[in-house]
Amino acid sequence: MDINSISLGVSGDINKLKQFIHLYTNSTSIYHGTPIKHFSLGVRPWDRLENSTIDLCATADFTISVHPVDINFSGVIDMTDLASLKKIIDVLPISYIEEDIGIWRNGNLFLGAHQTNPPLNKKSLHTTITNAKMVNHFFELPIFLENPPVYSEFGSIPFWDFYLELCNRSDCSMAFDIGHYLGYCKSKDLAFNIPDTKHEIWSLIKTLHISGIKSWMWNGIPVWLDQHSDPFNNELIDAFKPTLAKAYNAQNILLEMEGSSIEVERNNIDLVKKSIAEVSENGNKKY
Amino acid sequence: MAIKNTDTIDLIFNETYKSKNIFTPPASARDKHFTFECIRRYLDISRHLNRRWPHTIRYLQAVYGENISTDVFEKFDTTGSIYRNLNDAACGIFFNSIVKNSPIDAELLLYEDFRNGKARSSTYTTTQPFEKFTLIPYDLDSIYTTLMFYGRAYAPSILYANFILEPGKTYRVDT
Repeated sequence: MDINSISLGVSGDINKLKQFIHLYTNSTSIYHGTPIKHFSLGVRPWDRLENSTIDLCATADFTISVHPVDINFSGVIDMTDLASLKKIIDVLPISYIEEDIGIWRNGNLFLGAHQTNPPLNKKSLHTTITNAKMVNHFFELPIFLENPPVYSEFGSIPFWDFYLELCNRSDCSMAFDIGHYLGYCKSKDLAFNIPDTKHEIWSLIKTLHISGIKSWMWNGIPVWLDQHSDPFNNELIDAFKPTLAKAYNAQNILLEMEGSSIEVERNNIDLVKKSIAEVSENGNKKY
Repeated sequence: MAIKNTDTIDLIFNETYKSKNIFTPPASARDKHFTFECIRRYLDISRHLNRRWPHTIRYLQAVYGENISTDVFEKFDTTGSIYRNLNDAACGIFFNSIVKNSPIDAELLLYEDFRNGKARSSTYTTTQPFEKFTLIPYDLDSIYTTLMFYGRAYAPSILYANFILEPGKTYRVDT
């Protein structure tokens, strides 16, 4: 991968997409002069797009992925919701679908911050593989399975073994969320550690996700919360640089900044650009 | 905590909403991380309740104890599935529990909604009630004003607990 050619992406709901389309062509916007060329659209099964938005997306010179938050890759999938999502996805030029594994829905209830990550064991591996294959076949689009936010960790399969087997057996790729993995490391009381460059998982990681997190000490253990509106902190950027140096097959870097101010967005974009330049200048050797 | 490495995600989801996990001091680092996960969710539910009914919640907790919030947490995994989002689930489970156990207190919750513009009109009766446990507007307004008066000063629980709420009687204007 030529690091300098990697695109950046931002994410949000339909309203954010409309705002993004407007800002993308505006020479005074924070996206002007940046390598932002991707939008990850968060959609719910009942969402509907206006025809004007569909038309603008059809001719857009940025790529679009979809990030639903209703697919229980590690539990029971509601086929009616899946069919509703397909109606939205089919009218847009979608490159791929990305979704955290685990469970997002309990019946009708969208779990949001109560999203539950799967234990890294054979049972959940099997369930997630079966569901991922089915969803892949249903949408006929590439599926990027994301490591979910982890606040407590169960199971005994090592993280990278789990995701490698998951991707290989489901014919899916991986969306690697750096903050979520930091959370996993904290929950296992491990230092941030990623596989070496030769590990097969790097060929399967197609997008890197980065977003704000809050970290602190609680009762003597390191804890964290996913906080997309927060500025990217040093811990995150320190984890991002070596990851970027190894993720040779990544198509883009998704900056998840829902709810953040313009200033935070601008600073985050600058920080990521500087990090890319630093990794590029060092010829990946430092990392 | 009794979660094993071979347990399913469903079992872990259900176990997360057990109040014993938030009140039992964790020993190992693994237990602490799981306790944090449970507390994080409990606080999220409490946040939804306190945001919607900031004054009435304090009164109800002083009278009935903090287990009125814990009960919502305990029911979240089983009864939450009929709601669409976390706010509706937390507030819906809590309201239904209060209605069932104390219709008077449910009227206070509805009145706080009315005062905060969440309902076009309050659902309380405007006529002199025959039922002893129905509040009339003047009562509700006086009670709620008292709860705001206490709440803004972070009054101690004992003041709430000693507050005599006698619906249809205490504050009624004798005509």
